[in-house]
Amino acid sequence: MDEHDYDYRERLSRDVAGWRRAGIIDEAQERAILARAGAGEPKAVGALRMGWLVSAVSVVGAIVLAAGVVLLFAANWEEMPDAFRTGLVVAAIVAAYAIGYALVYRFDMQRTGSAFFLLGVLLYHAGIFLIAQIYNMPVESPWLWLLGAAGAFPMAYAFRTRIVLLLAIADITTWVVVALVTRYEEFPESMSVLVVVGVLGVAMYAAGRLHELRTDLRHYAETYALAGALILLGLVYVFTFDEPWRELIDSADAYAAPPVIYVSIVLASVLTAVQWVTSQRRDVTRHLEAVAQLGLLALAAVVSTWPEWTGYAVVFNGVFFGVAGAFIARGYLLADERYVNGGLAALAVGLITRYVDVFWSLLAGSAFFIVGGVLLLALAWAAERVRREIIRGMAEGGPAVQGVAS
Amino acid sequence: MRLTPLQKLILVAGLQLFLLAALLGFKGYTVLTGETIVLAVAPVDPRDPFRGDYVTVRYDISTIDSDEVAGDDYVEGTVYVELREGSDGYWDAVALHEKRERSFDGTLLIKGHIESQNYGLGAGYSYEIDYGIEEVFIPEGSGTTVAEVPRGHLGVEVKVDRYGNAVARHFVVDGAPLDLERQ
Repeated sequence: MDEHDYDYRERLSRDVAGWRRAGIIDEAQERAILARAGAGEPKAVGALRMGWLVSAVSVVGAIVLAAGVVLLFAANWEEMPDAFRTGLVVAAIVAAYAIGYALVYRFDMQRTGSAFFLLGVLLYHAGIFLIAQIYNMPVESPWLWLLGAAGAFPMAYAFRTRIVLLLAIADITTWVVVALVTRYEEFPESMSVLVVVGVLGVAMYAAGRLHELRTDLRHYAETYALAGALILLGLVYVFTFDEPWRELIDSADAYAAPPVIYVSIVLASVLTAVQWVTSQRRDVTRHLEAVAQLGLLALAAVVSTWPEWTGYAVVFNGVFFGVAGAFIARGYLLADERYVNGGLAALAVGLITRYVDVFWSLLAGSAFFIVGGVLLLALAWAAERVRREIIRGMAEGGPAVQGVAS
Repeated sequence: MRLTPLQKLILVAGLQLFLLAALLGFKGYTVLTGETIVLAVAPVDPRDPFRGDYVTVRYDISTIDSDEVAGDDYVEGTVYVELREGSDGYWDAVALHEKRERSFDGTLLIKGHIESQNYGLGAGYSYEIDYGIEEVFIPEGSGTTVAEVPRGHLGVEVKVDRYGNAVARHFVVDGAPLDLERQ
């Protein structure tokens, strides 16, 4: 049985467990489905369902180990000469890859082997920070993050590892943020260039859609799309507060949008247009998606060019809740509850933020918490209802159910 | 050409090690070939989550008044500051240039970037210059040792190569390396 069979059976075993909990199928049907896929034995089912646990534990192990190495080097022990420390990190990178290779290709242990590949990439990052420490490079040096991405992307693509891809995307995002923050230190430019981060989110989403065009790249599509949506959501959240807009109006006399904003918007628009034109699925959802992306990019251009309006906070609140709603809708259409849960979480964060924003100064401390508690319970009740309705909709003739758990 | 997993791994690991070596070589060149100078500083003390404790320093040459030095009156962007060793062992700015050129003998050039400029006390400008060596990493918990050095006695040993690139090495007190004690 090859790796894809394992993956399929493991996913199926998780899915049918979810369907049974949701009441869509009964225990006999669950057993019949698994038996048809060649995994009817209870022990085999148990082993398949343990796969995610092995992945989770080994990934956490790799991250904890790498964190320990970073902290060891950060302590900067003078007793360890620079050359020894550098040699140590290089040896650790080579060892992590060698162990990972042996586990995956000699002992058929995909999950722990992949965790060692992740460890190797994390140690590579530790190496960058170590060398930067040895030579006292500036703390706010954005290039270190770009160097991190340059080493992580090839590993992600060569060994089809999505967690390393996520790390590489985090590197790129950090590079953009640090480069912008260090290049544009003065307000209002320092705030307006943050728009580029949101534009990066849209571009990342488009890159995800473009990855769907080739069978061998489809594996990465969802990671890009999800990361792009989260980056966008994070940036839009920052712009939902009205204080920065007021400050911006006060100091907008000498303001001119930095060219990097327009360059990034043009690049992201081209990417989105290519995504739209080349989309294999010609349904309404895909058209709406591309139109929404281009609409966000147009909004970014308008906001950057004419920022003197307090109403933008309201607009960005609308965008934030709109994107959260789109998350839920996407989860419903794809029958993927991760998006439903993510969208509901974003919705809750947005509502709580606005509640604190509006009522913190208006209510006495005790009233604030009592009213807040009641509202949160009401929100939880409403979210639970919406979630159950959506999941029931998925079960009754909706799209194919994927990982549903009530 | 289809690569085997082992070939892919060797290529990716090789690329990562090459990038690390490039980073090492980029600064290593300055350290190996550069001239050693000592610059007077005043410290402050924070921490980086990935690299540990460091001291942010402000050099005497971080602020230069164009009236007080030779060279160009008005500069912007990347600049070259001409340094000469003083009688106290610290290197002081004697000229400011927009190009990599020197006005005096027995001096060296350090590359910097103009962070801001203001009207100086005289007719010229007062420049705030960043040299990319404003953070000096120290052993964990040894920051107070640096803070306890009396003002005017603390310096940083810096390597400067012939292109003006600088790498901060370590703290010195009255010319001798500072012994950093963990608290």
